[in-house]
Amino acid sequence: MKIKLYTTLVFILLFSNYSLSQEKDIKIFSDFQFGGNLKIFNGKNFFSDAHESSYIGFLMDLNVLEYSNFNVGVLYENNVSEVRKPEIAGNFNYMSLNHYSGYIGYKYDYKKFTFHPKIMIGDVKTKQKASGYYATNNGNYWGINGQINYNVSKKLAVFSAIGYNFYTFKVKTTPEYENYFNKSNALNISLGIKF
Amino acid sequence: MRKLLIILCLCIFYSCDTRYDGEVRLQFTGRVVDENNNPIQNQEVTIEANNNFINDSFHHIGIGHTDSNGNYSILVPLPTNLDAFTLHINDEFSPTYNSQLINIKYYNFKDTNFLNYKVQLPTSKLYSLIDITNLTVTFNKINANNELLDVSYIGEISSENYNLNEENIEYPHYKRVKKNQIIEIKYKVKNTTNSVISTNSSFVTIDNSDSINHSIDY
Repeated sequence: MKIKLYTTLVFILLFSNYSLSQEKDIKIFSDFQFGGNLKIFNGKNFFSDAHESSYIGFLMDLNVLEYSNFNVGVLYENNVSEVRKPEIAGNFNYMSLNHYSGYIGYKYDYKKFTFHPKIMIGDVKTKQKASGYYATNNGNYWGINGQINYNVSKKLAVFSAIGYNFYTFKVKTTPEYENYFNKSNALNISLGIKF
Repeated sequence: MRKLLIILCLCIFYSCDTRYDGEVRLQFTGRVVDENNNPIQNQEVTIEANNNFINDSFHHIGIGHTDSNGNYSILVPLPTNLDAFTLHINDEFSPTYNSQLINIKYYNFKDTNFLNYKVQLPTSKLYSLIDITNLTVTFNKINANNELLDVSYIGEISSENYNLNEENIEYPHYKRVKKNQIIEIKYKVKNTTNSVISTNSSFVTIDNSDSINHSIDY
C-alpha cells in the first residue's frame, strides 16, 4: 500500500515537472505547515481503553503538488499517551504513534479564508516505552480531514482542522482480544501555522 | 581515525533497550486463593521477562491484580524467547507483598503451554508460612531390577516454584506441605525383568514439626 502510494506520488511529481513548462498554475512544494494536534480515540479498544484516550502531539505537512485547486501532499504526525491499564497494555509508561501518510485535497478560497478538505492514507507505527525496554507494532490508517486557513498574508496563514481517522492492525492474540487490538477510530483536531 | 568514528557512531546509535514484538500479545490467566480456598482480591501478579540472557536485564513486562473472585488476566507483548517469562504471585518486591504468606512463581513456559496465545495457570494457593513444613522423601532402591517411574503427592501441597515443563524426577523429593494432615504418596515401580508395573501408596503423617523426613523402599 505504502509503496504504491509513494510510486504514484513520484509519478505525479515527475509528470508535473514535465508539464510545468506548459502550465503556469502548477505549484510544487508551494507550502508547508506545522502545528499541534490532539487525537481522541473512542470505543473500547487498545488505544482508548488501555491508554488515556487523548493523544497529544504535533504534525508536519508538506504540499507536494498543486494544480487547479487540487493538491497532493505528505503528512507526518506524532502523538503520545500514557498507559491506563498495564494489565492489558503491558507494564509500559507511555505509547507514541507515528503517522506517515499521503493525501489528496481540494482548496477553495473565500475572501481571507481557504477551505481545504483532504483524504489521507498511510502507515502508523506504535512504540510502547518503559525504562530499558519497548514494544513496537505497525498498522494502516485512512482519514478524512476538514481544514480552514485564515490567510494573514500571501505567505502566512493560521489553520485549524478537524478530522476522523480509521485504524487497522494485525495483532495476533486471543480471539477475545482480536478486535480490541486491531480496530480503532480517532477524532483529530489540529491547530497551526502555514507558510 | 575512520574506524574510531565508525565505533563512535555505532555507540551513539546503539540502543541498550530491549525490543518486544507488539504484534503478538500473550495472555496469562489464573486464580489466587488463600489456604481455605477463599479468593484473594487485589493481589498483585507480575510477569518478569529476560529477553536478553547476555546482559541479565530483567523487565517487569506484565503487571495485574486479582478481581473479587481472585481471577487475574495479564497481556504482554512477545519477547525473543518464551522461556524468558516468570510469573510471580506475592513477590517480595510487590507493593502488596505479604511476608506472612508464601510466594509462588511459574517458569519455563513453552509454546505448548499456550493455546490461541493464552495460558491458563492452575489455581495458586497462598498458604501461611507458619502453616507450612518441609517434607523430604527419599526413595531407596532395594531391588536392582526395579525402576521408579512416576511419583505423585495427594494432599495439601504448597507449589511455590512451579516448573511448567518439568521432565525429570528429582531424588530425593522435597516438598513444602501444610502441617497437620496425612499425605498419600503414590508411586509406580516397573520390574525390568518381567516388565510388570505396580502402583503403590505410602502415607505420611505431617505434624507440627518444621521438617519431616520419609523413606520409601522399592
